Amino acid sequence: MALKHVNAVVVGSGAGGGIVAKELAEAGLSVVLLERGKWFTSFDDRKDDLRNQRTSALGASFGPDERNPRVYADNSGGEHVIPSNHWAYSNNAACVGGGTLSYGAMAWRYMEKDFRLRSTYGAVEGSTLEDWPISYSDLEPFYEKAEWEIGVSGDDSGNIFCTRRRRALPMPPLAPNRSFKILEPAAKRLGLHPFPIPMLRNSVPYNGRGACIRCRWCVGYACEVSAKCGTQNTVIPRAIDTGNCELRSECIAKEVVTDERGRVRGVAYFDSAGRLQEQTSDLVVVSCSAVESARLLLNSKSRLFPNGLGNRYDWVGRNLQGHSYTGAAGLFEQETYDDLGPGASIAICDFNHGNPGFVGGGLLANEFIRSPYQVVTGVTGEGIPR
Amino acid sequence: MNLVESRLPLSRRSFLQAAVAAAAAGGVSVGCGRNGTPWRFFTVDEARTLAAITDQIIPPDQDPGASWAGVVNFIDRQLCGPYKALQQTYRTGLTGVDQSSRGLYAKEFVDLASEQQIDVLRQLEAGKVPGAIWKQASASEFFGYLVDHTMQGFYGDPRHGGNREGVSWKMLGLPYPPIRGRQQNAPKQKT
Repeated sequence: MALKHVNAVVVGSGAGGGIVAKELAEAGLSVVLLERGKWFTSFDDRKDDLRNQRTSALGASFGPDERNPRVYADNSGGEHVIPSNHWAYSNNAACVGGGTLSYGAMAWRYMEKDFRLRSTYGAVEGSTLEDWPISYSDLEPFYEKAEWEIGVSGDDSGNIFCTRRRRALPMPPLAPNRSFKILEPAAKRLGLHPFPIPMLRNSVPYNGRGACIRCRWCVGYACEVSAKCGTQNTVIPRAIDTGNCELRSECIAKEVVTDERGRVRGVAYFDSAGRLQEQTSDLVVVSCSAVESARLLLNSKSRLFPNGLGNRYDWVGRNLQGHSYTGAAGLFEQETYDDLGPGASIAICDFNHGNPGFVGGGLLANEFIRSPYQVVTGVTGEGIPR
Repeated sequence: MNLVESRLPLSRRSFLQAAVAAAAAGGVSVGCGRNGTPWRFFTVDEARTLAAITDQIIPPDQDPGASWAGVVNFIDRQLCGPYKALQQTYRTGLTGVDQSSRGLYAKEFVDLASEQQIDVLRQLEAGKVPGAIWKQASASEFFGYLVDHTMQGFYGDPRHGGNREGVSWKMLGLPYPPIRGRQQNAPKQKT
């Protein structure tokens, strides 16, 4: 039996899809929200140091599972089919809420220069660096809306490098942990500008949910008290409450279907029983993470789109970047650790731009709470025993 | 500096004690099918070799080492679960370690003096170890697995079969990490 036609199909219920589904549903459109994973609660998450979303040595709590391999090309062009716990997979959770169920939940805004990289740094050889077609001021109202609707705590008024926000964050920062208290005066002595990180985490009761209990099971885990704000505990319930949005979990999109004139007709997907279904719609929103969105578009081939949708210039799936970052560790005479979650608490943006000899830069922040195994394997370098 | 160099040498006697303890700790067989040993996957000889290797990676000093902590049990269990794909890597690799030990010192790995064991492992790490078997398997890759899995077994949650009695967490002064908000479900603290 054919499924009832709807106004919009949203593929993926993560940071992007959850928000789009809510906006469309509140505007009165009928919406089907497709999600390949399940809707987990914290009680499905047994808080395991070797099996979680961040350290997936023994598996990832919220998927994707072994049925979702990716192809990784090494530097010499050799292609390898890799499982989801491979370091090169760039795993992002496959569940309702997507990465926002188990993320560390830093809530950064782009800086003005981030929208004008080409204008700022010129044509960088070997790069495709471009300016965005929008500016910071175009986006600011939406940053503000997201910060208030989803819930951000912190205080970046001490960050002199970003544009002054029109409206303060809705919640104050969490009380400083021990490393904050060490780093803040030290950074100031060096002439830097430290401030409490804006984070999608309730520091006080907000939006009908309680405040953070400062436990260690934060990044990589589902919050035990739902104090961490993701789409699964904010906008998605609101979308469903409108009565206009139906969430279909454990449904994997196969392709975006187009008609003979090249117009989108809907989405073909495998439902939770593995049956092929087609949901027709006026609109299709592809919001299933950078890598899987590209995969879905490339898989959506037809007579008019032989190389996949939106891929006339062969750029779909290129220039993607995983969530990699670098760090440094040091040994101290005094205790620096107090096991107070989420761990990351203080940052500087002094080096985001304007670094001689470099294009761009980045923020520096203290680390989230790490398990003993993460510390042992994460601290490497010359002169350090393996 | 290499880790295996930087640790205290291990007496043969304490190694044997540890190996016996490790064998006892692995007495419950669940997974891959019975193979006439107390282990799920390993043979008795393989488990002895692996215990000796892991004790060079994390040797006992004032605190227990890897084999006492049940790292062999941890790896044995994971090879019948998430690490199923690595079964052949371990089977070949552990055979290779003994082959290399015989090539270099005319004895099996467990019978070597501590310095000789360290030498074998250093050559394994560098991928320059003798032995015909290493033509079909990467020695340095196997060494990488050995180190990583030993760290997981020693520093990971005891529920996975290693870190017996939370020994590494005690060493670090880290309490059994509580799950606040549902204390009633947390594993019981061992003293």
